[in-house]
Amino acid sequence: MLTRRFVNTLILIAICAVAASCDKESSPPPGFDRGPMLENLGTNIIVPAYDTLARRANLLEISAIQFTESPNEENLGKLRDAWLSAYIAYQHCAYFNFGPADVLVFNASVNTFPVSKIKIDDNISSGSYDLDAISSNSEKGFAALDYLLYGLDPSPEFVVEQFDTDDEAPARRQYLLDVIADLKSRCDAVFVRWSPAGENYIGTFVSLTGNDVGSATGMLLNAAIQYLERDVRDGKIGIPLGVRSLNVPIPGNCEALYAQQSIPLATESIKALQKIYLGKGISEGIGFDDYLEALNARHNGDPLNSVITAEMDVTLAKVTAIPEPYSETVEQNPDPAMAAYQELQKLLVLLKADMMSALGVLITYQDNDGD
Amino acid sequence: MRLKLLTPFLFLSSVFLMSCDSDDDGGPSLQVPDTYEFTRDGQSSVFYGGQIDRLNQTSEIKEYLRKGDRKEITLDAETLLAMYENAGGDGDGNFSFTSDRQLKDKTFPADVAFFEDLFAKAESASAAGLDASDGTAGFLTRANGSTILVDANGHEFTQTFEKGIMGSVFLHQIFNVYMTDERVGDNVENTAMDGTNNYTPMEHHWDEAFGYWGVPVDFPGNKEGLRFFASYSNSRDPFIGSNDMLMDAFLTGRAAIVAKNYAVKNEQREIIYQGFEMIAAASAVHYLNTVKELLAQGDASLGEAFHSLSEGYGFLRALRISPKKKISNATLTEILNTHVGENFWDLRETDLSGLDKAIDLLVEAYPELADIKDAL
Repeated sequence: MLTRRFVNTLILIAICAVAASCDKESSPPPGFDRGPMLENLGTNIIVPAYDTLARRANLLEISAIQFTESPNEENLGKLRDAWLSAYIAYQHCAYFNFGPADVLVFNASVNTFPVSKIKIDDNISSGSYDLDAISSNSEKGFAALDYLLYGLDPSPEFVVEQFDTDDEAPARRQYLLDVIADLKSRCDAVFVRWSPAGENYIGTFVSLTGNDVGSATGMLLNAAIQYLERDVRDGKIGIPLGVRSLNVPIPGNCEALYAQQSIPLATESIKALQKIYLGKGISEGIGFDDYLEALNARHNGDPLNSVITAEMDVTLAKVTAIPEPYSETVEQNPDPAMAAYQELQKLLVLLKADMMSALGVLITYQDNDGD
Repeated sequence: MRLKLLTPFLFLSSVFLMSCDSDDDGGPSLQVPDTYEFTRDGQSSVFYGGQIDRLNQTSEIKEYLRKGDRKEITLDAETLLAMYENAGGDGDGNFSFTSDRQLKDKTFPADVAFFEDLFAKAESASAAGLDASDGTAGFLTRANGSTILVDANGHEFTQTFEKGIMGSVFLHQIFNVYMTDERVGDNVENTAMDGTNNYTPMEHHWDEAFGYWGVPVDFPGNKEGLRFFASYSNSRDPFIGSNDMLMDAFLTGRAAIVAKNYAVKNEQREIIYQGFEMIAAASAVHYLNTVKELLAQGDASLGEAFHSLSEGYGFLRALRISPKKKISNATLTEILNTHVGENFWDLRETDLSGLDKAIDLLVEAYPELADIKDAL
């Protein structure tokens, strides 16, 4: 009850804020220049995030080649580590689903889950597949690797056997390498598009200093908030918990289901959001926190920035506290997950309603839901 | 008995409400037609082609599974998945027609994996080609000599699929999508046409729910070609009056939408929720009764018993889908896991009091079934 009232209040405030902002002369506010903020976000956060991912995808490929040449438990361990390390790096990129990532359909082609076990098994048996096809998103990417490296049976001996002596071992090794090659080439491609040494999308990004629909701020915030809503709140936490299915949990829809790394990845995802919000790359730079402070945005009398920062901390703590394996938690111990989901919802409202109206940026994505 | 009293009561209260409303707003008066045909400017305003496509897809997947039952083909999981997802618009060449609709993206989200697992299990059971026994998937023979393919727990793939889709797609779409406030609530657009179509969004959503029922527009006068829920609605009709109950509710509600008489529309929605739930519950009792008789005849009737049990189990699972169900999730789980049990082979060995208990619990949740529970 309290929560709902709280949310209603927030929405009301958001509406008031939007209404109020209509009266004002248009942006930018005195004392805040978005240019340096974009420069910081692009140079110190976005490009390094894609750079890290590309480098880790490369290490992943090297580990996979080693493992397929000598399938043993030690090499499997290294390959699994390399996979998790790249998957963690991806969590820091996934909020930037605009510009290059949007054009390349990057997120969907590297992290669609759950994957189709039937299709992957069939691809391995038949040796006939086209990982380039859009329809193959559920046969590849990080989640397909989760299935290949953990799903058949988590025990390392068994997995090694599957890649070493099993009848289908040669085909399985090839499939592993093909999935990783596809993943790596996509990570490279999106990095090259952003990189100043490549196609330099970052140059475009920092030049779009407005706050309209096509501005860097508008695109970034829409992409990031949409990702928070659909992929973090719903995809990582809510959908497995059953919030979209009459509270019937869907354990099979957990991210990194077989490796049982759903919660570490979700935790990383909240940390990535904090970094974007604070403009914190290697060191603290100009971010949305500074922007809201410059506007003196308020929330029930408190600085909106303080409220958001505090809610991010609470959310991070609640998400981190969810017990792994998440696929068991959703069925046996859903309360901590529901608590985290509720914080994610509060955080979403603060960002999507309060922050966006304070910044005068429109939410341009919609809930899609045809028949 | 009590149900028969309930229906006229709801109907009377509808009439009462409707007369209030038409006095109030002076809108078009409520004219309920005899058949599900509504027009605007002389043209039909009813369209549910997407639903017909999905009923047809379900029929063709079932037909494919039946070929596996008859040992005419070895079932292929990828083919089943391609049909379920309608790959390429024609189930990857396996449907006799093309459509941009599919079953998978309309499935109750928690059940998608259920169907994909079923396809994988059906493939391996079909490829192995064994005789079924406790713990081994394979073939059983029915009373008429035909064979059915069952999983290691005795669940027939074909029936589990069909009843599964009826619950997880058709009922789910009616209950959790089309009959919700988001689709037919009072604030849904009901004046402007939906794009270039000859219907308003509210009218269309109502029609789409109707489409999933699977009856002809002049039902129940015409009982030809009843499909899926329509067929079970008709089978249970002598006991629970389901044909008129649902047809009147769909007709009256649709007419109320035209007349913008939302109180009446909303009453019919409630009847639709109750009607489908009652069909599923009564069908479950019907099959459990059948199974009791068959199992009492010994192992010779096992194929027939497991076939019926698969149907009953499917209807019980379908009950989960209703957001307004009268039976609790805990009771349903108890029935499914304990009294009927996941492994049908266990029922053979023990006495059949589990099935009696299951029926008792259903009657407790649906007291309307008390007087007819043995006759169903």
